[in-house]
Amino acid sequence: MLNIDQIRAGYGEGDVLKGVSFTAATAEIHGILGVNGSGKTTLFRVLNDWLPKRAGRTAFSNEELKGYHIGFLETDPYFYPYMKGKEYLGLLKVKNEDYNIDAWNAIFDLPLDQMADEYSTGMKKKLALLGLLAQDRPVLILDEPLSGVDIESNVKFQEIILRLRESGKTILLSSHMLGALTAICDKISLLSGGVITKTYQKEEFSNLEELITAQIKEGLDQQLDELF
Amino acid sequence: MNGLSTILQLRSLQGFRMLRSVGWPLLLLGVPMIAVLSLGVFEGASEGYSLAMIFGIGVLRLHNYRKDHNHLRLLGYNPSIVCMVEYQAIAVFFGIIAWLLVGNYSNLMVMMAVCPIVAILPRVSWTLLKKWLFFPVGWMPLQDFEYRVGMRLAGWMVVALIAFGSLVAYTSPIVPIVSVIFISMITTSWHSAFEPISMIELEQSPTQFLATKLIKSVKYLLLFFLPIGVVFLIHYSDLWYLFVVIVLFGLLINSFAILYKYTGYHRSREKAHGEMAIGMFSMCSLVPFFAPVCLFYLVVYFKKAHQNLNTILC
Repeated sequence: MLNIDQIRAGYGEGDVLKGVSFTAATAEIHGILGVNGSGKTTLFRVLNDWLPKRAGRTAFSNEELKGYHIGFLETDPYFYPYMKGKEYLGLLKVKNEDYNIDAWNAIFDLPLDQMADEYSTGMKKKLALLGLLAQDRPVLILDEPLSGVDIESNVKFQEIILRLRESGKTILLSSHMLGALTAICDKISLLSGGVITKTYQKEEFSNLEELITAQIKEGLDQQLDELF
Repeated sequence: MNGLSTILQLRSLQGFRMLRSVGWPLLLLGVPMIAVLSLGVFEGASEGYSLAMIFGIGVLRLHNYRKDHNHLRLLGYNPSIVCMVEYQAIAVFFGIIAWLLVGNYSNLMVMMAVCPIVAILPRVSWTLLKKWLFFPVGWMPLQDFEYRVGMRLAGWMVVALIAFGSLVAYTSPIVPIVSVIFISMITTSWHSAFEPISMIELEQSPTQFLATKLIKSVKYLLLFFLPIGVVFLIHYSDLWYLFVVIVLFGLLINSFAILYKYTGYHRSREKAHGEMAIGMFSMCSLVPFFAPVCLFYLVVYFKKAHQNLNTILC
């Protein structure tokens, strides 16, 4: 069980996160939904310890959440310059001998003999996902995993994420594609104004899209009426 | 013209920020030494056209390295004109210093003439070049990724320096010593890029982590220096202490490069940008009077790196 309790964090003087709290069970995919700038990436950075939290507590299985619990897929993954894809995965395999590079790469067919930092955005994301699988951490944080990848890989990503849940991983996932979130998540939390305003259960997903669209359109219609 | 002056102002600001990132204590210590050394080089090189040649090679390298051509086009600037103005600003700066030093203005004239030629040259495709330039590194362990990547890029240069330092050593003891200095300086640049957090072994202690990195550096450097050292001792056994001092210099600056990297390591950044700091540290360590200061800095940076890694490693 991943427990996020009253997290406050930010850059400079103001707080971007103003007391974020939620829980994610083991073998659960928990979606985080929010508009640009709502703090999704900031939250993930805090959980990863990339940004210090100003208040609050993060725990996993009754101990403090640490770096070695987490596998993090960034929106825009970075790789060591002039290192081949195969070398990157080989380095992670040193710590996980069961990991079969060729078998996993057969899914995406990446040119592993090329330099990873020269890959396209989608290819970098696929390599980062393969690296995440090699790391085999209990908590996975996936920041926009489906953006920048082609439609075929999108389906493959979703299937892999579902299999990871089956294997007992706790997965936090953010996406701008509501359809993709509702298809694979068990819960979706709405992050707005630096707090989780509501958490939707799977049975509430059916009308979630209409609900959110209606909320957005409410103010927008009036603004557009004035402009046009 | 207004846009070009804005670009020049921005470049000056970037330069100032780069200097500031080095840190004032190191800057105050290093600037006078760099100034003395540079003036000496300028004085020597300003006599003929050597300064213009060094400048031409430097600008050519910079021109091929820069990646902002398309960005400048997007902003509505002609990249060739921007490059020319930037290179000429550098040429005027160095050319005037050389002129004032030895009264030879021909270097400045040549430098000014070189700028427009370099500015209109197309960049050489790195993709085409690298196939020929990459050094085979399959024999190196994956865990030594800094050295694998470093050798891949500069392996032929290191091999050439080892060959030069060993085979031409009979002419003068300076040859092997210069080779060792160059190898040491090349290898410091291998500790500039930050590795992604997934490549760091999180369960290690900071002391163990840093010790592994430092020992690895010593191991590789001694491997590179060994052939040169053997030849040096054959020819100049009475000067053995000179070689030991230079080897220690190499080990010292590489250790500093590693500690500087992990002092500034952050999981969301990509590079240490320690060129200036390492350059100044190198110059200080070549002057016996400053050697204790360098050792002190090494201890300070070890503590800083340890502190920074404490927040990353579990």
